[in-house]
Amino acid sequence: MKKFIAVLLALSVLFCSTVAFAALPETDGTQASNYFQSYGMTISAIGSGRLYLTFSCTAVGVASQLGVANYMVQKKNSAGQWVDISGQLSGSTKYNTTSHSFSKTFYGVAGETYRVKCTFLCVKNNSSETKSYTSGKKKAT
Amino acid sequence: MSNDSNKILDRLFNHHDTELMPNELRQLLDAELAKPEDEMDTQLISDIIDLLDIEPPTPAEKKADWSAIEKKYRRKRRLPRVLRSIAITAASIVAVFLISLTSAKAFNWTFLLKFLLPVAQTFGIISSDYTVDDGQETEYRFEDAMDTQEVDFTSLDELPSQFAAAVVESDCVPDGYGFVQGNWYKSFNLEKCNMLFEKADQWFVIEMMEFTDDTDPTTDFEFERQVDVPLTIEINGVEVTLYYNSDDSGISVSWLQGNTHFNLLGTLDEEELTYIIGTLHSYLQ
Repeated sequence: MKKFIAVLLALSVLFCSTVAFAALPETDGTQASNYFQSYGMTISAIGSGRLYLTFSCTAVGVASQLGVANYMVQKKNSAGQWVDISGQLSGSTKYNTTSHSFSKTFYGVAGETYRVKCTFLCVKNNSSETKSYTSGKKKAT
Repeated sequence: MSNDSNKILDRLFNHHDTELMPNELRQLLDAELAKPEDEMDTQLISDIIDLLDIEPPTPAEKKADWSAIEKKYRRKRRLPRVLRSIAITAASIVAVFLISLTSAKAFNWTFLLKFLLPVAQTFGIISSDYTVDDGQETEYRFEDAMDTQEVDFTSLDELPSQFAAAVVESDCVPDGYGFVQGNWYKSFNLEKCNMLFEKADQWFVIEMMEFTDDTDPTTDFEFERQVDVPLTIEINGVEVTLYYNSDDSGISVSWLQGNTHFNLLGTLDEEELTYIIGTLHSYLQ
Protein backbone atom coordinates (compact mmCIF):
# COMPACT_ATOMS: atom_id res chain seq x y z
CA MET A 1 0.00 0.00 0.00
CA LYS A 2 2.75 2.46 0.97
CA LYS A 3 4.74 1.57 -2.14
CA PHE A 4 1.68 2.07 -4.31
CA ILE A 5 0.98 5.51 -2.85
CA ALA A 6 4.63 6.54 -3.19
CA VAL A 7 4.69 5.48 -6.84
CA LEU A 8 1.41 7.28 -7.52
CA LEU A 9 2.68 10.56 -6.07
CA ALA A 10 5.99 10.28 -7.87
CA LEU A 11 4.24 9.69 -11.19
CA SER A 12 1.97 12.69 -10.74
CA VAL A 13 4.92 15.01 -9.99
CA LEU A 14 6.81 13.59 -12.96
CA PHE A 15 3.82 14.09 -15.23
CA CYS A 16 3.38 17.71 -14.19
CA SER A 17 7.06 18.58 -14.69
CA THR A 18 7.56 16.99 -18.12
CA VAL A 19 4.46 18.34 -19.83
CA ALA A 20 5.32 21.88 -18.74
CA PHE A 21 8.01 22.14 -21.44
CA ALA A 22 5.64 21.06 -24.15
CA ALA A 23 3.16 23.74 -23.13
CA LEU A 24 5.43 26.68 -23.96
CA PRO A 25 4.96 27.87 -27.54
CA GLU A 26 7.88 29.09 -29.58
CA THR A 27 7.20 32.77 -29.94
CA ASP A 28 9.04 36.02 -29.96
CA GLY A 29 8.39 36.38 -26.25
CA THR A 30 4.68 37.20 -26.34
CA GLN A 31 2.07 34.55 -25.76
CA ALA A 32 -1.37 34.41 -27.31
CA SER A 33 -4.33 34.44 -24.97
CA ASN A 34 -7.33 32.24 -25.53
CA TYR A 35 -9.34 34.67 -23.38
CA PHE A 36 -8.56 38.27 -24.29
CA GLN A 37 -8.61 39.81 -27.73
CA SER A 38 -7.73 43.26 -26.39
CA TYR A 39 -7.69 45.25 -23.16
CA GLY A 40 -6.61 48.72 -22.19
CA MET A 41 -7.51 52.19 -21.07
CA THR A 42 -8.01 55.70 -22.29
CA ILE A 43 -7.35 58.57 -19.88
CA SER A 44 -8.39 62.15 -20.58
CA ALA A 45 -7.78 65.30 -18.56
CA ILE A 46 -11.09 67.16 -18.33
CA GLY A 47 -10.13 70.11 -16.17
CA SER A 48 -10.34 71.05 -12.46
CA GLY A 49 -7.87 68.27 -11.65
CA ARG A 50 -10.24 65.64 -12.97
CA LEU A 51 -9.33 62.65 -15.09
CA TYR A 52 -11.80 60.69 -17.20
CA LEU A 53 -10.85 57.01 -17.08
CA THR A 54 -12.27 54.52 -19.57
CA PHE A 55 -11.52 50.82 -19.13
CA SER A 56 -12.24 48.45 -21.99
CA CYS A 57 -11.63 44.81 -22.86
CA THR A 58 -12.78 42.37 -25.53
CA ALA A 59 -12.84 38.61 -25.17
CA VAL A 60 -12.09 35.94 -27.75
CA GLY A 61 -15.67 34.93 -28.38
CA VAL A 62 -18.30 35.16 -25.64
CA ALA A 63 -17.06 35.26 -22.03
CA SER A 64 -19.21 34.17 -19.13
CA GLN A 65 -17.68 37.03 -17.13
CA LEU A 66 -15.53 39.88 -18.42
CA GLY A 67 -14.22 43.16 -17.11
CA VAL A 68 -11.98 44.70 -14.48
CA ALA A 69 -11.60 42.94 -11.14
CA ASN A 70 -9.89 45.85 -9.40
CA TYR A 71 -7.90 48.99 -10.07
CA MET A 72 -5.86 51.62 -8.29
CA VAL A 73 -4.60 55.11 -9.08
CA GLN A 74 -0.99 56.10 -8.54
CA LYS A 75 0.55 59.55 -8.39
CA LYS A 76 4.07 60.54 -9.33
CA ASN A 77 5.75 62.20 -6.38
CA SER A 78 8.52 64.80 -6.38
CA ALA A 79 11.16 62.03 -6.33
CA GLY A 80 9.72 60.59 -9.55
CA GLN A 81 8.31 57.53 -7.83
CA TRP A 82 4.83 56.20 -8.31
CA VAL A 83 2.85 55.99 -5.08
CA ASP A 84 -0.52 54.43 -4.54
CA ILE A 85 -3.07 57.06 -3.53
CA SER A 86 -6.38 55.32 -3.84
CA GLY A 87 -5.88 51.82 -2.53
CA GLN A 88 -7.41 48.92 -4.38
CA LEU A 89 -10.86 49.76 -5.71
CA SER A 90 -13.51 47.47 -7.10
CA GLY A 91 -13.91 47.44 -10.86
CA SER A 92 -16.78 46.31 -13.02
CA THR A 93 -17.59 43.07 -14.82
CA LYS A 94 -20.33 41.88 -17.10
CA TYR A 95 -21.75 38.43 -17.78
CA ASN A 96 -22.15 36.62 -21.10
CA THR A 97 -20.65 39.27 -23.28
CA THR A 98 -18.01 39.75 -25.97
CA SER A 99 -16.80 43.11 -24.66
CA HIS A 100 -17.14 45.31 -21.60
CA SER A 101 -16.23 48.92 -20.99
CA PHE A 102 -16.90 51.42 -18.23
CA SER A 103 -15.75 54.90 -17.28
CA LYS A 104 -14.95 56.71 -14.05
CA THR A 105 -14.27 60.34 -13.21
CA PHE A 106 -11.34 60.72 -10.85
CA TYR A 107 -11.01 63.93 -8.82
CA GLY A 108 -7.31 64.57 -8.54
CA VAL A 109 -5.20 67.70 -8.25
CA ALA A 110 -4.39 69.86 -11.27
CA GLY A 111 -0.72 69.69 -12.18
CA GLU A 112 -0.19 66.23 -10.70
CA THR A 113 0.62 63.24 -12.90
CA TYR A 114 -1.31 60.03 -12.45
CA ARG A 115 -1.53 56.55 -13.86
CA VAL A 116 -3.80 53.57 -13.30
CA LYS A 117 -2.98 49.95 -12.51
CA CYS A 118 -5.74 47.38 -12.90
CA THR A 119 -6.48 43.69 -13.32
CA PHE A 120 -8.59 42.60 -16.27
CA LEU A 121 -10.56 39.39 -15.82
CA CYS A 122 -12.03 37.00 -18.37
CA VAL A 123 -13.91 33.82 -17.50
CA LYS A 124 -14.69 31.24 -20.20
CA ASN A 125 -15.73 27.60 -19.90
CA ASN A 126 -15.29 27.53 -16.12
CA SER A 127 -11.71 28.75 -16.29
CA SER A 128 -10.33 32.23 -16.12
CA GLU A 129 -7.42 34.44 -17.00
CA THR A 130 -6.36 37.74 -15.53
CA LYS A 131 -4.12 40.38 -17.02
CA SER A 132 -2.26 42.96 -14.99
CA TYR A 133 -2.17 46.29 -16.76
CA THR A 134 -0.48 49.62 -16.12
CA SER A 135 -1.67 52.62 -18.08
CA GLY A 136 0.38 55.42 -19.48
CA LYS A 137 0.70 58.55 -17.38
CA LYS A 138 -1.56 61.55 -17.63
CA LYS A 139 -1.21 65.02 -16.12
CA ALA A 140 -4.37 66.46 -14.65
CA THR A 141 -5.24 69.96 -15.79
CA MET B 1 -22.61 -7.00 59.32
CA SER B 2 -22.05 -3.42 58.32
CA ASN B 3 -23.17 -2.10 54.97
CA ASP B 4 -19.58 -1.67 53.88
CA SER B 5 -18.85 -5.30 54.65
CA ASN B 6 -21.88 -6.39 52.62
CA LYS B 7 -20.68 -4.33 49.68
CA ILE B 8 -17.21 -5.82 49.94
CA LEU B 9 -18.56 -9.36 50.10
CA ASP B 10 -20.79 -8.64 47.14
CA ARG B 11 -17.77 -7.53 45.19
CA LEU B 12 -15.69 -10.48 46.33
CA PHE B 13 -18.10 -13.24 45.50
CA ASN B 14 -20.55 -11.93 42.89
CA HIS B 15 -18.54 -9.64 40.55
CA HIS B 16 -15.77 -11.76 39.11
CA ASP B 17 -14.56 -9.05 36.75
CA THR B 18 -13.78 -6.67 39.64
CA GLU B 19 -11.61 -8.86 41.84
CA LEU B 20 -9.57 -7.15 44.52
CA MET B 21 -5.79 -7.35 44.34
CA PRO B 22 -3.90 -9.08 47.18
CA ASN B 23 -2.65 -5.80 48.63
CA GLU B 24 -6.22 -4.46 48.65
CA LEU B 25 -7.32 -7.59 50.48
CA ARG B 26 -4.52 -7.14 53.02
CA GLN B 27 -5.56 -3.53 53.53
CA LEU B 28 -9.12 -4.65 54.18
CA LEU B 29 -7.86 -7.32 56.57
CA ASP B 30 -5.72 -4.79 58.46
CA ALA B 31 -8.61 -2.36 58.66
CA GLU B 32 -10.91 -5.06 60.05
CA LEU B 33 -8.32 -6.27 62.57
CA ALA B 34 -7.75 -2.69 63.79
CA LYS B 35 -11.38 -2.44 64.87
CA PRO B 36 -12.43 -3.16 68.50
CA GLU B 37 -13.19 -6.89 69.14
CA ASP B 38 -16.92 -6.41 69.37
CA GLU B 39 -17.01 -4.60 66.01
CA MET B 40 -14.87 -7.10 64.07
CA ASP B 41 -16.53 -9.04 61.28
CA THR B 42 -15.01 -12.47 61.82
CA GLN B 43 -16.64 -13.97 58.75
CA LEU B 44 -15.17 -11.28 56.55
CA ILE B 45 -11.73 -11.82 58.09
CA SER B 46 -12.01 -15.54 57.47
CA ASP B 47 -13.05 -15.00 53.83
CA ILE B 48 -10.22 -12.59 53.18
CA ILE B 49 -7.69 -15.02 54.66
CA ASP B 50 -9.11 -17.79 52.45
CA LEU B 51 -8.74 -15.59 49.39
CA LEU B 52 -5.18 -14.66 50.29
CA ASP B 53 -4.38 -18.34 50.55
CA ILE B 54 -5.32 -18.95 46.94
CA GLU B 55 -2.41 -20.25 44.94
CA PRO B 56 -0.90 -17.84 42.33
CA PRO B 57 -1.71 -18.77 38.71
CA THR B 58 0.36 -21.49 37.06
CA PRO B 59 2.42 -20.66 33.93
CA ALA B 60 -0.24 -22.33 31.80
CA GLU B 61 -2.94 -20.20 33.39
CA LYS B 62 -0.80 -17.09 32.93
CA LYS B 63 -0.28 -17.94 29.24
CA ALA B 64 -4.00 -18.52 28.72
CA ASP B 65 -4.88 -15.23 30.43
CA TRP B 66 -2.27 -13.33 28.43
CA SER B 67 -3.51 -14.81 25.15
CA ALA B 68 -7.04 -13.74 26.03
CA ILE B 69 -5.83 -10.19 26.68
CA GLU B 70 -3.82 -10.12 23.44
CA LYS B 71 -6.75 -11.40 21.42
CA LYS B 72 -8.97 -8.69 22.82
CA TYR B 73 -6.36 -6.00 22.09
CA ARG B 74 -5.78 -7.24 18.53
CA ARG B 75 -9.50 -7.25 17.85
CA LYS B 76 -9.71 -3.58 18.85
CA ARG B 77 -6.63 -2.66 16.75
CA ARG B 78 -7.83 -4.41 13.57
CA LEU B 79 -10.44 -1.75 12.89
CA PRO B 80 -8.21 1.39 13.11
CA ARG B 81 -5.66 -0.15 10.69
CA VAL B 82 -8.33 -0.44 8.00
CA LEU B 83 -9.46 3.11 8.65
CA ARG B 84 -5.86 4.27 8.53
CA SER B 85 -5.36 2.70 5.08
CA ILE B 86 -8.53 4.29 3.79
CA ALA B 87 -7.47 7.69 5.15
CA ILE B 88 -4.00 7.45 3.58
CA THR B 89 -5.46 6.42 0.21
CA ALA B 90 -8.00 9.26 0.30
CA ALA B 91 -5.31 11.79 1.25
CA SER B 92 -3.12 10.58 -1.64
CA ILE B 93 -5.95 10.92 -4.13
CA VAL B 94 -6.69 14.46 -2.89
CA ALA B 95 -2.99 15.38 -3.11
CA VAL B 96 -2.72 14.10 -6.70
CA PHE B 97 -5.93 15.92 -7.60
CA LEU B 98 -4.70 19.23 -6.16
CA ILE B 99 -1.30 18.95 -7.86
CA SER B 100 -2.99 18.22 -11.19
CA LEU B 101 -5.47 21.06 -10.75
CA THR B 102 -2.87 23.70 -9.89
CA SER B 103 -0.63 22.58 -12.75
CA ALA B 104 -3.53 22.59 -15.19
CA LYS B 105 -4.53 26.12 -14.13
CA ALA B 106 -0.95 27.37 -14.27
CA PHE B 107 -0.30 26.03 -17.78
CA ASN B 108 -3.90 26.39 -18.98
CA TRP B 109 -4.35 22.75 -19.95
CA THR B 110 -7.95 23.03 -21.01
CA PHE B 111 -8.23 19.30 -21.75
CA LEU B 112 -7.58 18.62 -18.05
CA LEU B 113 -9.45 21.63 -16.68
CA LYS B 114 -12.67 20.39 -18.29
CA PHE B 115 -12.63 17.42 -15.92
CA LEU B 116 -10.95 18.86 -12.84
CA LEU B 117 -12.70 22.23 -12.48
CA PRO B 118 -16.26 20.91 -12.08
CA VAL B 119 -15.04 18.56 -9.35
CA ALA B 120 -13.10 21.36 -7.64
CA GLN B 121 -16.13 23.63 -7.77
CA THR B 122 -18.38 20.89 -6.38
CA PHE B 123 -16.18 20.53 -3.34
CA GLY B 124 -15.72 24.28 -2.94
CA ILE B 125 -11.99 24.21 -3.67
CA ILE B 126 -12.51 26.83 -6.36
CA SER B 127 -15.30 29.29 -6.32
CA SER B 128 -17.40 29.20 -9.45
CA ASP B 129 -18.41 32.75 -8.83
CA TYR B 130 -15.72 35.19 -9.86
CA THR B 131 -16.67 38.25 -7.91
CA VAL B 132 -15.14 41.62 -8.25
CA ASP B 133 -12.86 42.49 -5.34
CA ASP B 134 -14.38 44.53 -2.56
CA GLY B 135 -12.95 47.97 -2.84
CA GLN B 136 -11.60 49.93 0.04
CA GLU B 137 -12.58 53.44 0.96
CA THR B 138 -10.35 56.19 -0.28
CA GLU B 139 -10.05 59.89 0.46
CA TYR B 140 -9.95 60.56 -3.29
CA ARG B 141 -13.26 60.91 -5.03
CA PHE B 142 -14.36 58.64 -7.84
CA GLU B 143 -17.65 58.86 -9.65
CA ASP B 144 -19.27 56.73 -12.27
CA ALA B 145 -19.24 58.64 -15.52
CA MET B 146 -22.85 59.41 -16.34
CA ASP B 147 -22.45 60.19 -20.02
CA THR B 148 -21.84 56.60 -21.12
CA GLN B 149 -23.91 54.13 -23.10
CA GLU B 150 -23.41 50.40 -23.44
CA VAL B 151 -25.56 48.03 -25.46
CA ASP B 152 -25.29 44.29 -26.02
CA PHE B 153 -27.16 43.22 -29.16
CA THR B 154 -27.94 39.85 -30.67
CA SER B 155 -29.99 40.96 -33.65
CA LEU B 156 -29.18 42.94 -36.77
CA ASP B 157 -32.64 44.53 -36.67
CA GLU B 158 -31.76 47.25 -34.16
CA LEU B 159 -28.17 48.28 -34.49
CA PRO B 160 -26.90 50.72 -31.86
CA SER B 161 -24.07 52.28 -33.82
CA GLN B 162 -23.14 53.56 -37.25
CA PHE B 163 -20.27 51.13 -37.38
CA ALA B 164 -22.55 48.13 -36.89
CA ALA B 165 -24.80 49.51 -39.58
CA ALA B 166 -21.79 49.95 -41.87
CA VAL B 167 -20.76 46.32 -41.38
CA VAL B 168 -24.23 45.20 -42.41
CA GLU B 169 -24.88 47.69 -45.20
CA SER B 170 -21.47 47.34 -46.79
CA ASP B 171 -22.10 43.62 -47.20
CA CYS B 172 -18.55 42.94 -46.03
CA VAL B 173 -19.45 39.74 -44.18
CA PRO B 174 -18.49 36.70 -46.30
CA ASP B 175 -21.23 34.27 -47.34
CA GLY B 176 -22.29 31.67 -44.83
CA TYR B 177 -21.43 33.64 -41.69
CA GLY B 178 -24.23 34.41 -39.26
CA PHE B 179 -24.28 37.17 -36.64
CA VAL B 180 -24.06 35.94 -33.05
CA GLN B 181 -23.58 38.83 -30.65
CA GLY B 182 -22.28 42.37 -30.50
CA ASN B 183 -21.38 45.06 -27.99
CA TRP B 184 -21.35 48.83 -28.38
CA TYR B 185 -19.98 51.36 -25.88
CA LYS B 186 -19.74 55.11 -26.02
CA SER B 187 -18.14 57.46 -23.51
CA PHE B 188 -16.46 60.85 -23.53
CA ASN B 189 -13.18 59.52 -24.92
CA LEU B 190 -13.96 56.15 -26.54
CA GLU B 191 -16.51 54.64 -28.89
CA LYS B 192 -16.15 50.92 -29.41
CA CYS B 193 -18.18 48.36 -31.27
CA ASN B 194 -17.50 44.69 -31.91
CA MET B 195 -19.49 41.99 -33.68
CA LEU B 196 -19.05 38.22 -33.59
CA PHE B 197 -19.91 36.11 -36.66
CA GLU B 198 -19.84 32.32 -36.97
CA LYS B 199 -20.01 29.71 -39.73
CA ALA B 200 -19.88 26.07 -38.63
CA ASP B 201 -16.59 25.86 -36.68
CA GLN B 202 -15.23 29.09 -38.14
CA TRP B 203 -15.68 32.50 -36.59
CA PHE B 204 -14.44 36.06 -36.65
CA VAL B 205 -14.83 39.22 -34.60
CA ILE B 206 -14.63 42.64 -36.17
CA GLU B 207 -14.05 45.52 -33.81
CA MET B 208 -13.73 49.23 -34.22
CA MET B 209 -12.43 51.73 -31.66
CA GLU B 210 -12.62 55.46 -32.12
CA PHE B 211 -10.84 57.75 -29.69
CA THR B 212 -13.21 60.65 -29.50
CA ASP B 213 -11.30 63.02 -27.24
CA ASP B 214 -9.39 65.67 -29.16
CA THR B 215 -7.31 66.72 -26.16
CA ASP B 216 -4.53 64.18 -26.66
CA PRO B 217 -5.66 61.46 -24.25
CA THR B 218 -3.37 58.76 -22.98
CA THR B 219 -4.39 55.58 -24.77
CA ASP B 220 -2.79 52.19 -24.43
CA PHE B 221 -4.30 48.91 -25.57
CA GLU B 222 -2.83 45.43 -25.61
CA PHE B 223 -3.90 43.11 -28.41
CA GLU B 224 -3.29 39.72 -26.95
CA ARG B 225 -3.69 37.57 -30.01
CA GLN B 226 -0.59 38.83 -31.72
CA VAL B 227 2.14 36.30 -31.21
CA ASP B 228 4.33 36.62 -34.29
CA VAL B 229 6.26 39.33 -35.98
CA PRO B 230 3.71 41.44 -37.84
CA LEU B 231 3.63 42.05 -41.55
CA THR B 232 2.57 45.30 -43.11
CA ILE B 233 0.72 44.69 -46.33
CA GLU B 234 -1.71 46.51 -48.56
CA ILE B 235 -5.21 45.14 -49.13
CA ASN B 236 -7.26 46.98 -51.74
CA GLY B 237 -5.43 50.22 -51.02
CA VAL B 238 -5.56 49.80 -47.25
CA GLU B 239 -2.29 49.40 -45.37
CA VAL B 240 -2.84 46.81 -42.67
CA THR B 241 -0.73 45.18 -39.97
CA LEU B 242 -1.16 41.45 -40.20
CA TYR B 243 -0.36 38.83 -37.54
CA TYR B 244 -0.43 35.16 -38.40
CA ASN B 245 -0.68 33.45 -35.01
CA SER B 246 1.82 30.61 -34.68
CA ASP B 247 -0.56 28.45 -32.66
CA ASP B 248 -2.88 28.10 -35.68
CA SER B 249 -5.61 29.93 -33.80
CA GLY B 250 -6.31 32.31 -36.61
CA ILE B 251 -5.48 35.64 -38.07
CA SER B 252 -5.33 38.96 -36.32
CA VAL B 253 -5.39 42.09 -38.44
CA SER B 254 -5.31 45.74 -37.42
CA TRP B 255 -5.53 48.90 -39.45
CA LEU B 256 -6.21 52.59 -39.00
CA GLN B 257 -8.65 54.75 -40.86
CA GLY B 258 -8.60 58.32 -39.60
CA ASN B 259 -9.15 58.29 -35.84
CA THR B 260 -10.59 54.80 -35.91
CA HIS B 261 -8.70 51.62 -35.12
CA PHE B 262 -10.04 48.40 -36.65
CA ASN B 263 -9.22 44.91 -35.50
CA LEU B 264 -10.26 41.69 -37.18
CA LEU B 265 -9.67 38.39 -35.43
CA GLY B 266 -10.71 34.89 -36.36
CA THR B 267 -10.29 31.76 -38.42
CA LEU B 268 -10.42 33.53 -41.76
CA ASP B 269 -8.60 32.59 -44.90
CA GLU B 270 -6.80 35.22 -46.92
CA GLU B 271 -9.57 35.56 -49.47
CA GLU B 272 -12.19 36.26 -46.80
CA LEU B 273 -9.85 38.66 -45.03
CA THR B 274 -9.17 40.62 -48.19
CA TYR B 275 -12.86 40.77 -48.99
CA ILE B 276 -13.89 42.10 -45.55
CA ILE B 277 -11.22 44.77 -45.31
CA GLY B 278 -11.54 45.95 -48.91
CA THR B 279 -15.33 46.13 -48.81
CA LEU B 280 -15.55 47.87 -45.46
CA HIS B 281 -12.84 50.34 -46.27
CA SER B 282 -14.52 51.31 -49.53
CA TYR B 283 -17.86 51.79 -47.78
CA LEU B 284 -16.43 53.96 -44.99
CA GLN B 285 -14.51 56.30 -47.21
